[in-house]
Amino acid sequence: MWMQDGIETILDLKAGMHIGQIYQTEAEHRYIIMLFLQQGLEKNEKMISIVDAHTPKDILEYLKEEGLDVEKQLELGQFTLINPNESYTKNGVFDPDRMINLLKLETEKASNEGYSGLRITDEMTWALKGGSGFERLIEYETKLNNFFSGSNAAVICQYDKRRFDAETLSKVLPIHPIVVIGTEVYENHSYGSPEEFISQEPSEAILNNWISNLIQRKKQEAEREEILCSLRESREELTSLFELSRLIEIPITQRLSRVLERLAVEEGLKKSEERIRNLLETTSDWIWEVDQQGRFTYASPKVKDLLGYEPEEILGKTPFDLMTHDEAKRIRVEFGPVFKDKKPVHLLENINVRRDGHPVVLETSCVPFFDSDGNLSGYRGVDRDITGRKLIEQKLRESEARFRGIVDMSVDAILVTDEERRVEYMNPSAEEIFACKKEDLIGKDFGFTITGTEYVEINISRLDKEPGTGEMKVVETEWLGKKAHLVIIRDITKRKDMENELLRTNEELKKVDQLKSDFISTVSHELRTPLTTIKEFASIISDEIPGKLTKEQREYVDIIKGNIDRLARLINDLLDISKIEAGRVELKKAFIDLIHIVEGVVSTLKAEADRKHIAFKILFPASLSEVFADPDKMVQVFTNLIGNAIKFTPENGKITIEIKDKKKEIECIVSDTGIGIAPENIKKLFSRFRQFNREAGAGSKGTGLGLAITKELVEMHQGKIWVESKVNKGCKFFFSLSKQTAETILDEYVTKEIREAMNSNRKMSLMVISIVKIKEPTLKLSSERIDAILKDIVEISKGWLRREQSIILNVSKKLFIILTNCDKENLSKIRKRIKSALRNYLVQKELTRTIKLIFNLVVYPDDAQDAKIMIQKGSKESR
Amino acid sequence: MVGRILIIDDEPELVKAVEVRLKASGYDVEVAYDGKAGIDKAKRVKPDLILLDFVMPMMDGYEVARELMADLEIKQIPIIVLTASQQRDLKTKFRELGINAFILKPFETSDLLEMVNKYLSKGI
Repeated sequence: MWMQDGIETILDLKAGMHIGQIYQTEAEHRYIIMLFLQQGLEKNEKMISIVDAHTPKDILEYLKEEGLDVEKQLELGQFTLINPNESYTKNGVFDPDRMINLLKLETEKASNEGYSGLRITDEMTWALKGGSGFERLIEYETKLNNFFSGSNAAVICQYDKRRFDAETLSKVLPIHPIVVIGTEVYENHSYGSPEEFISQEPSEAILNNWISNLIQRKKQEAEREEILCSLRESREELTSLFELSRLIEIPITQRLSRVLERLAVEEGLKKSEERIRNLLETTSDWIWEVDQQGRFTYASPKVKDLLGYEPEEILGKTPFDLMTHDEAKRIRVEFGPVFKDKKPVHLLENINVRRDGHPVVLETSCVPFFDSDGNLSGYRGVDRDITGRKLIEQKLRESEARFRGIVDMSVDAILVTDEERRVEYMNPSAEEIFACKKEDLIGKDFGFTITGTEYVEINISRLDKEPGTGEMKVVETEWLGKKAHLVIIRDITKRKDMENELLRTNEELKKVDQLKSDFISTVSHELRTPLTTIKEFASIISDEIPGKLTKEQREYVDIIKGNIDRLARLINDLLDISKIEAGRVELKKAFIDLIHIVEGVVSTLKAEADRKHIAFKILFPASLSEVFADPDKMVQVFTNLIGNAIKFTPENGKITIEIKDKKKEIECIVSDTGIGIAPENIKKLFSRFRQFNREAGAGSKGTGLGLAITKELVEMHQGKIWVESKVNKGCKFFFSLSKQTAETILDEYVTKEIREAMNSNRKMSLMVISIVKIKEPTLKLSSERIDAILKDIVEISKGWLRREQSIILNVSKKLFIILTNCDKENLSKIRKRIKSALRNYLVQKELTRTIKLIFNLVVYPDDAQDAKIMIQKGSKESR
Repeated sequence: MVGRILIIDDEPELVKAVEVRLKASGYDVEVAYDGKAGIDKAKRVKPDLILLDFVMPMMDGYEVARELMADLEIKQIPIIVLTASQQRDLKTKFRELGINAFILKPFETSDLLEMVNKYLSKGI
């Protein structure tokens, strides 16, 4: 394998290497010394430089210039500079054997001194001086190979090409396993026994040929490598490949033409021809020759790969025979004149047909060649299969078009800057966002700090537009083969404005809300206090404390009292609705018995109804699900609806209250036999201060807020309220309360309890009882049976709980007992009591071998701070 | 004399009304028109029951109650808070002091008397 980079090879140099350098300039000479020594320093080797044409001072000065400080090494003796008189030509005689011995000794010495090896640079000009034994140079170099192989030493022999004759060099250089030409390093593949070289006919031609062959092969290899690499790379690289191939194609073709010509002329050079053949076989291009009629006279074997033909098969055919009819016609038309003028053709794309019928895109370059009289003999050329490249190009074009489309259409600004923040690309949105033209920004500093990969907010200033706000994200990327930043900016000016507007509105709303709440408490106090005084004195007079009243006085005082009550109700209703609207009403939900509530309301209003001889009828199902609602609010709702019904039902009428237990909800209906409501008024019914000409009977006047409040209260319970009515046929008020799932009730309840415990700085507890079936029970338990057992457990547990401070919820076959104001100590006492009672129950029911009860206890705030965790901990079944 | 009641309220007319009512029911009534005077009077006359208004200038009903409850002797005297507000946290605050009786303004005379009688365990 040929090395690609001389410098790397030098640095990779290992002990035991024997290198030969041919240099033509001082720079080449010194550069290699520097690299060689630098490496020795790094490896802690002992170093000797043998100088001849140069003085030690020259070398040291040079090293100093290059920044290689060897002062210390010189002092320590790690680095020495000597001249050949102290080594090679000691006593004026050059003796290879003595030198080898000397090297052996020096190597041992270096090793004994603690160095990892010995490294020598050797300026070979001394060998030019002539003298005794100098003819043994080749012998010496050969012997060195034997010595270095396996030793800890390395030497670089430096030959000045300007001073050594070609004959010597041609003999000496091939002996070195590693050859440096100038500063390029080559592995000497043809390195073999030195005798082989010695026996050959020496000539400058051989040397030059050898050197140029080395260089050429290396270059050829490098070019091929590069092309292969390039093909694999992305679009940018593909572009650069095109450039590259344009540059290299011509020299290759010309060189090959030259070689082919020489092949024809110097027929005797078999070796050279063979070399060329190798070259032709190894190159991925197809090389050919046609005569003046355009018939193939030569085709390299590669044609088989490209077109599927054996070379012999196409001899005698013309290139046009390999094309489709149309393509041949096109080429003839387009390139006929070129061929006629005997001009070369470069990179002509043409479509050929493979032997198997598949199309192949070839790129052809060819040059004419002439006989000794200057007449055209034919063309020689090279074809490359670019079908793959064409496909890639096409795909790239398509994909680029696609991506360009996306980028152009993008609402976000997309920019590419180089590492110095100079803008290299921007899409149309970027022009719009920055209110500028591409030309204004390309190549200029982008202006923003290029920060991390997260979106950051930036202020966008623009020439002739209001400044805006953007969100910027930066991604590291590559652009045309260089490191670059991909910047994406989204214009959020509008959103930002809206956000600010929203914040302002929110602030204002907060203020209004505060005003409202201030108003509520002010009204509460300011209205109620004087009202209390009026009311008190009115009732003092009415109660005849200051003295007896006349009949008239009594009548007037009663009117005063009635209106005071009405005013008080109005204030209360107003405050109620304000509080509901301001979200200041908190529901105190509990499991309530609606029937009980209805009965309570009816008994309160009975006196009023009795005065009008109105009869009540209450209908409810045999078993009614428990409702989870605020009992006070339910009382208020029923009081309003039933009170209204009484008000608008004429004497001897009837009011029916019905409760229906539906699948998903509980429906309540209050119907009367009153005058009804006209359809156009039904919609307004639940609005505030809406009292239409419904003929109310005697009794207290309404405030016009009752139904509005009722509606709000029902809706706070996620319920619905509506009315059905026909004029003169009475009214039917409906409201429904949706049944909540056990889970949501539990969650709501625990949340509420925790909030209350927190407000009053108390504790609350949760006890969860779950039934666990004992493995392989003798008795099978059905789901119904478990439900029955749970029911029993609830009843038993209730007996041990203070009813007003606890609630039991059955959620997915677990009993959750929530205990208000109950700490850990209390909780364990209660558990103990319930546990023993349940134990008795299990014994009594002979269930002790079938089921087991597990108690989980959670206390707020000791064990859990929120409802979710509390329920989670309570539901755990591990144990 | 079936009991001595101290009214602490900054509304003289309302105080007058309550005073008339209570006197008519046979109670002995003492009045104070601000918190500080109320505390002084409570300490001096040692009433059997205190009617305390919540909203008062300088020292509100809660502060008055707190000071009264801090006095070991007065602590035993039941206190009924008169308030125009139904705020729940207000009630909670008083409850924490151990005061559980509230009358919402405007109150029914009968309600007031009923509550007073209950505390002083006397019928009219």
